[in-house]
Amino acid sequence: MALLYYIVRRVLQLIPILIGISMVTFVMARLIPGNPAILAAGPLASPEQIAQVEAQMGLDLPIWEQYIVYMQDVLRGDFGTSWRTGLPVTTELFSRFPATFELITFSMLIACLIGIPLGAFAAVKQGTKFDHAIRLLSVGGVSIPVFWSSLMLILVFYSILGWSPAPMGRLGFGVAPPQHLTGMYIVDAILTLNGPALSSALSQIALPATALAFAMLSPIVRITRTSMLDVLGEDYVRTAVSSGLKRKTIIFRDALRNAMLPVVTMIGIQYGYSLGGEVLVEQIFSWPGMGRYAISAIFNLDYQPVQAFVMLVALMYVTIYLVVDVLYALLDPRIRY
Amino acid sequence: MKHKWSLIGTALLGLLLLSVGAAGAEMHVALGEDVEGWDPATVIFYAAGEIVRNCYDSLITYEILDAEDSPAGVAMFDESRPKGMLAESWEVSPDGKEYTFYLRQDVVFASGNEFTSEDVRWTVERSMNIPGGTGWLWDVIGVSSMDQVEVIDDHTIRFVLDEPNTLFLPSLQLEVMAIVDSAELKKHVTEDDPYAHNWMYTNVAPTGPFHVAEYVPGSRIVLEANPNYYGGEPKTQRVVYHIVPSEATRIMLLEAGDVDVSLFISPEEVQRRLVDRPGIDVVSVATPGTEYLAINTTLPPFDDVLVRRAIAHAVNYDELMEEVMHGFASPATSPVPALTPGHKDVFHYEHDPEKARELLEEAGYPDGIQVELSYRLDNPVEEAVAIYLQDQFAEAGIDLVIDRVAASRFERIRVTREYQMALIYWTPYVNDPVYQLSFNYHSRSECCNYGEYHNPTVNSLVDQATRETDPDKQQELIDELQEIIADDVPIVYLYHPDRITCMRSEVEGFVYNSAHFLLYRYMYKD
Repeated sequence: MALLYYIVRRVLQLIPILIGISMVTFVMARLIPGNPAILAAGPLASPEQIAQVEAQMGLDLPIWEQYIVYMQDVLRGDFGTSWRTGLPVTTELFSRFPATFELITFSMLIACLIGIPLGAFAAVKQGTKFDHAIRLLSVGGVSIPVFWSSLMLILVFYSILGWSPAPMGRLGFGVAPPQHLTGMYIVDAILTLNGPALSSALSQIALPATALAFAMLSPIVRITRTSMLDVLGEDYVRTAVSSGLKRKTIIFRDALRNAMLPVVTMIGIQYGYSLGGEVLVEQIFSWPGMGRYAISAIFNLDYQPVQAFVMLVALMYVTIYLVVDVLYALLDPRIRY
Repeated sequence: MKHKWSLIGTALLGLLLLSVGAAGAEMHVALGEDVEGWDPATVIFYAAGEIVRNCYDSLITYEILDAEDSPAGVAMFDESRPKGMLAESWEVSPDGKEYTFYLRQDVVFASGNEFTSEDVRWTVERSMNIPGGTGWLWDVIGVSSMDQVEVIDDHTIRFVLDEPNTLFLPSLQLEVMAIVDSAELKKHVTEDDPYAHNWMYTNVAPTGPFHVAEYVPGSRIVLEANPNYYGGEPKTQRVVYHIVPSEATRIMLLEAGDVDVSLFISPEEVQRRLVDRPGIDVVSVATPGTEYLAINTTLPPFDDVLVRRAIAHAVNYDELMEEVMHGFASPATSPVPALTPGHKDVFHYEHDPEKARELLEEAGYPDGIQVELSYRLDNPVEEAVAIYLQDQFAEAGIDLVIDRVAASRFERIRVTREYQMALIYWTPYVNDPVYQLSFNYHSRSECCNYGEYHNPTVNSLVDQATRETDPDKQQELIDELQEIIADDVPIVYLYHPDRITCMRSEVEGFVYNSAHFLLYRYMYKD
């Protein structure tokens, strides 16, 4: 019950946070030098025509008035319209957020499924050649830039071997997307038992997710290893060993579970960070995600998408930290809120 | 399990393709960036313009010059021979002020509505009145109010110009003059939006060979043949634009044959990866577009013509064309490009660092000068130009400071001229000398007088040339203008970049046009 109360309190705290963020973003976006009306009016427009467009975009009002107009719309659920695409920002983010969320989640799952056991294994085998090999792998993950590993994956698995489909987005061309439930194609395809869509979505996501997982892997491996070493040196582990418990039981039941706290934090941080959009991977694999959308909005001084994007990412961050805190309580019964 | 699903998937896909028609009737194009709204009245960006060109027809177009007869060796628009498109024919009054168009009677829009002169009238009204629309162009071509557009009957319409204007007719074939379906659009107007601009951003109401069948933002746009097209069925039934932001990916897709055309590949990558590759055709066409080194002539030391000439002599033009453009460029030798009618070779500033030093000394700068060059940081070609210029200028005693500017700020300073020098790529909408000269060198041109050049003689000569209907007299004026401007150097012409298109060898029917758009009504796969 206390936990529930805690969650409600945290969610309520979100409101002032989001208002603060909306103000900061609103002002920051307008501090970028340049004028979107000039971009929208086109390269040959005259100053009068530019002024006309400015008035139409509402940019001729004082900034505080612009903010009030904006917030009134936001409260009605209208995040404005992108001047470039002419589409409502809400619609675009609704279609792009699941794309990013699916890619990041899939990559994170791969990274965790491989990274946590590897880190634990490296700790148990500390100083052996396994430990060194795993270190080499994780150093590789940190040092190899993700755009390079992405291009190499495409070159090998698409261009040379021909195993992978064309790196053009989330589904092969001609494959109808599954019925829209969550917007995440893999989940939707499973829920609606849509075989062709599932197979296409999986084969499209394989390469970008591998590239991302490789980059996400190393912090997870490193922190699992360090944390595991700490725990393995604890008195209670020694006690457990001396009382003759099986090694496997000690490592997996006692040590790993206790070593998970810092790992969960690290995963949370990385997850939140990645949800801002892995722009490079989205670019290279033509993934229609949020990162690409936000970047091109920033370059074109398209204020509305930028503002909505920052708010959404902030919301995700706060949510993830909340989930991490709740997981703490579940993992460590001593923690109470 | 996964394999089994793939098999089923492939089989289904195969069935789907069979039902659509032969695979050859489908063209796949890799596009570099997300597509902006494609209302003809406000198109700014490349991709939206190409969609408009392929979906809509205008009143007129040009005859096509076959590859054998064309100077570039590829089929192209013959800009000296306009021909009717939605207009069957037209008449010009003897004083050159009245243009009467007789419209085709067999044209229906994609919606099924009949095409009449009211559609033409409404298209003009619409593009004049939409903020950010093409009102400026109507001013330039001499139709500044709707009173000058008269509907005579259902299939006859007349434009009455203030005075004769040589830009009027060629402007009518532009994508911004694409004729829209007024009856259909009127269904989508709202109080705030009397011309259905919002609806037109992501919809089309054309008479042309294609219409937009599917749009998935960030992923793809599918054009499908318009069954009501008066010109008959195009050989290509579907055009699929895939949005592929990474250049490296666009190249690999083309190499693998998953797309038939890849757009926006840099000269360097074309040279390195595609030129000699079997199965891929690289079509490179010289264009009237020019890379400008604009000099702000109002700021010292650039207000001294000697300094501007020194700068022109400091540039190593051949090196830029070889090292930056990898040979995909041709020399620029006049304010009127070589491929624009009326061109005269007048810009004689060959690379000569010594001469540049002498000129600077004469101007009173024996120790050289320091200057700043601005360019858009998202343009890798201009970045390379800037770096080469820095070295070249150093030889002539000019210390070049590089100012990389974000796109949004650059577009502002481009209008306000808050730069000392700037790299600007200019391509004329209308391939016409008067258009070129009045946009880039007339004081009145607020948008594009990039040298901030104010020369009363030039202004009055341009005004005279705009009105002059006698071609010989007009040419004399244009010749004189070219001489004066080349002498004054408000802009240094670095080179004319070629337009490079990379396609699979099976693709036939490429027709070059000076707007650079690919025209799928002519293109097909063999």
